[in-house]
Amino acid sequence: MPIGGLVVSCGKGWEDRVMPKILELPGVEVHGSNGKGDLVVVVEAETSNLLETVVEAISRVDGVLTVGMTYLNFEDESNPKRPAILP
Amino acid sequence: MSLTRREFIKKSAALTAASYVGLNLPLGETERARGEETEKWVRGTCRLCGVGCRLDLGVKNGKAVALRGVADSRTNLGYVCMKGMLFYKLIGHPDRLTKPLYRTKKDQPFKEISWDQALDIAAREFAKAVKEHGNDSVAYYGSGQAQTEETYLFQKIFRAGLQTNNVEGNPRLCMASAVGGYVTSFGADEPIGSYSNIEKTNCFFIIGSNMAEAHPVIFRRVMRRKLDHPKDVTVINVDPRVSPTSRIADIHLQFKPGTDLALMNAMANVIIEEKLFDEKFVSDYCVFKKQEEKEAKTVDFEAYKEFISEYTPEKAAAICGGNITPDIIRQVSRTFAQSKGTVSMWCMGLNQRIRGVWANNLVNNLHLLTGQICRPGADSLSLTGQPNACGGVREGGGLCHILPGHRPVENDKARNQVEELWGVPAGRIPPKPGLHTMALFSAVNEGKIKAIWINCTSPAQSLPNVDFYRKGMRRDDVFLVCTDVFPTKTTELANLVLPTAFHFEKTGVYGCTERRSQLTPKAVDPPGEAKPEVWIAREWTLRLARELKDPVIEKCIEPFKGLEEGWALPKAVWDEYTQKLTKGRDNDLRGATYEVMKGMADGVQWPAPTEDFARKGGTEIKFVRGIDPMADSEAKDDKPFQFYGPAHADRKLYVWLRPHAGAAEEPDAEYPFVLSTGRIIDHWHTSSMTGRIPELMRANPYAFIEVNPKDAARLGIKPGDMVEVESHRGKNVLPAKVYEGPIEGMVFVYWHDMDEDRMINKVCKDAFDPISKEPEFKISAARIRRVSGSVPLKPYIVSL
Repeated sequence: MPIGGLVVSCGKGWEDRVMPKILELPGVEVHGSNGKGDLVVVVEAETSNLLETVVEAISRVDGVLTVGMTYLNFEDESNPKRPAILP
Repeated sequence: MSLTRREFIKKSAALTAASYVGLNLPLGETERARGEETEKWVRGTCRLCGVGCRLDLGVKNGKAVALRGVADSRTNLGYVCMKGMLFYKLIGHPDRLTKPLYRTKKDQPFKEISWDQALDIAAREFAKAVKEHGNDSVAYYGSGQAQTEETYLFQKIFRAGLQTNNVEGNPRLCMASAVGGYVTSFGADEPIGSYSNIEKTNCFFIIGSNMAEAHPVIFRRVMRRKLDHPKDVTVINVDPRVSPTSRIADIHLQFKPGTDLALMNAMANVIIEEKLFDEKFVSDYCVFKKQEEKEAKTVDFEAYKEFISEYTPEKAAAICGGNITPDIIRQVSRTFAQSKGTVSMWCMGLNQRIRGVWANNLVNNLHLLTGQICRPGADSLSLTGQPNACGGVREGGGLCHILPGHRPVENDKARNQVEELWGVPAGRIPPKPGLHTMALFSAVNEGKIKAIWINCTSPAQSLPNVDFYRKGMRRDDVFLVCTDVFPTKTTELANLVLPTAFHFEKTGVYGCTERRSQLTPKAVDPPGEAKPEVWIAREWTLRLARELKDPVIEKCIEPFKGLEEGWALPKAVWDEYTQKLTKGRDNDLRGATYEVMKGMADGVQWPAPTEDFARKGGTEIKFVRGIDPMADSEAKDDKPFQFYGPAHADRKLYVWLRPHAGAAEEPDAEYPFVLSTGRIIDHWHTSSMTGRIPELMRANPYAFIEVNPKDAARLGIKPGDMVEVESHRGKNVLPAKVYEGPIEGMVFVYWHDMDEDRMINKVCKDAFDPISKEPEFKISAARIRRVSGSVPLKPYIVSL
């Protein structure tokens, strides 16, 4: 199960509006905020495909400006198989 | 993974993220250490754009298991984009090329062969071409993604061994106009300043760059600067298309594509008219230059003033259209000039133009007139597209007209110096530059090139008017070798496909946008029989020397014989390049040894003549005494700035008189639209890599055409409808995305899709800048029509 560490940036003062929306998404934890509009977020998902879906959903939350990845553990997926999406 | 261990890893992920934003979380170092139970972290550089983000790859049992940004890195401050985070999936991907493949004719299936057979065949075919058709019947076409050691070694073998300057690379398609702009404006290639100016500037002038998608980590820094100082920082975005970059702009200038030269001349006019220029800086350091016939003539300030006076804001506004008004031109000119520091950033929107060098000169002019360079928060910063276009190709001799260390091929003294440093006979390197990219593939079409080595790039998809040039590559009398990690549209046309080691499967250096060279050591073994390019080049050269019975060819790889390929071989190549070829040059990298770089969070900005200086990071701002050691060692007077660049013997900065010029192909009654192309955040170039990462492919499975709602309404196009876009050269059929992105009369398509119906380079034109030889991808005349309603589409990736 991949685990990602993210910094989610919104405008200063937007944290209270952004945080509940992010927490509605599956596997998301908010670990803190620096008071400047940066939220420390951890995402855990069944697959990196799902993790990316969650990250994409975070980036679409109203008020979110950027999502910066800082950490990714993908130990369980270190033997990649041919993806189903490809022909 | 156990629950407990997952908790530790989650805490580790939180701690890493928190450390980047100055937040202390209540977790101890013990917990963190337990969460990071990898065998080792190997520090390297991301390879999916030119920013040069540093990251640690976690390795366990010989496999990559984790990634994290490097917080102390001056390039990315620890951040990595989603594309960068997922690149590990390419290491050991099941589609990787793992064995040499060969066929005599291009309509035959490939057969697996041994490395000995493959290298013998490559040597025999190149030798045959040289013997039967001369030295200029062979060529190397490389990449801004190849490591510096690879580019340097290949170009050495071709120039001094095979005696041809037919050495080119795909940066010709993206950065050549920036090179031309820097060299003609400042006398030296590459930016003067650094990314660190982002945190010091008060005005961003972002023109022809969708950095939010093409350089997302640098965009994050820009955005952070703006958010932290909303009143003190102004972001001006100049682009005919409203892009994700525009969302942080205070002012977005939207204009008819191809009219920005008039806009920038009008800004210069306002700066002169309103006396906003820095008279002392101009008087101390600048001269005015006008191109006449074959010679650049020096003119005085009054002549420049008269020239630029033609570009009134009113006239420019009329040329530019869109939302450009005389008042907005005056406003942005004042902000640009009066800001405590202004940083311009641009990319392909200026470079991929018929007058790309002029466009670059005009940005540089604004900085020269206002003295907005050589001080904190001020710089004219060309964003690089590829991770090693600067380091490998621009600095390492990867274009047909330049030798390593920014030496022009046609300069006898420079050429003889290189021959001496390589220990080959004087006169061994031909004095005539080789064929630039478009001329090279024209020569392939004409059957004049008989053997070509294509490394780490896919011109069968990335060239403009690509169908025209694929005809040549399909010829059976053109022997085509591809070194690559995955099948591509170009391997489909090859005779010989050689599997290469991927990033972190070999050791080498990338030099990013800000003149910073950064080491990526080998962390894991390559799959199957894949090999590093430096090993392939060396082993091929030994055979080539035997085939051609030429000891000078073998001399080219003499210092590298027998060295172990994972570290010793690339290190020896890097040492030769830096210690010999960059010594005393403006890109002096003697201090940037493997030992020094290995111990750094990021890397070394040249010039860095000594290891002690390199350990501190090198030169943050070029030409400034007290900061740049060469500004001191090369000083000719007491002035604080010393412009010692190799291209301007007079040590002056040139303000160019460049008239407005439109596109090579303007819309007309038959083809009334402007087609422009670009990147999207999820994909990289020809998508041979990102197309194999399902997360990225799912986000953007196929290209679409962006149509302005007014044009869509007029043509009866609804979102999702299939739309044909056609030019004089070819056509695509793509689903429509209808939104207020492109200006009315313009359509936009991203260029990554491999599918023949959606490969937009079939439609783009191949006219190129007469100075830089870079093609004008950004503007083609086209027509569009609705073909049908929405139809299901499939993503497409080349397979063997």
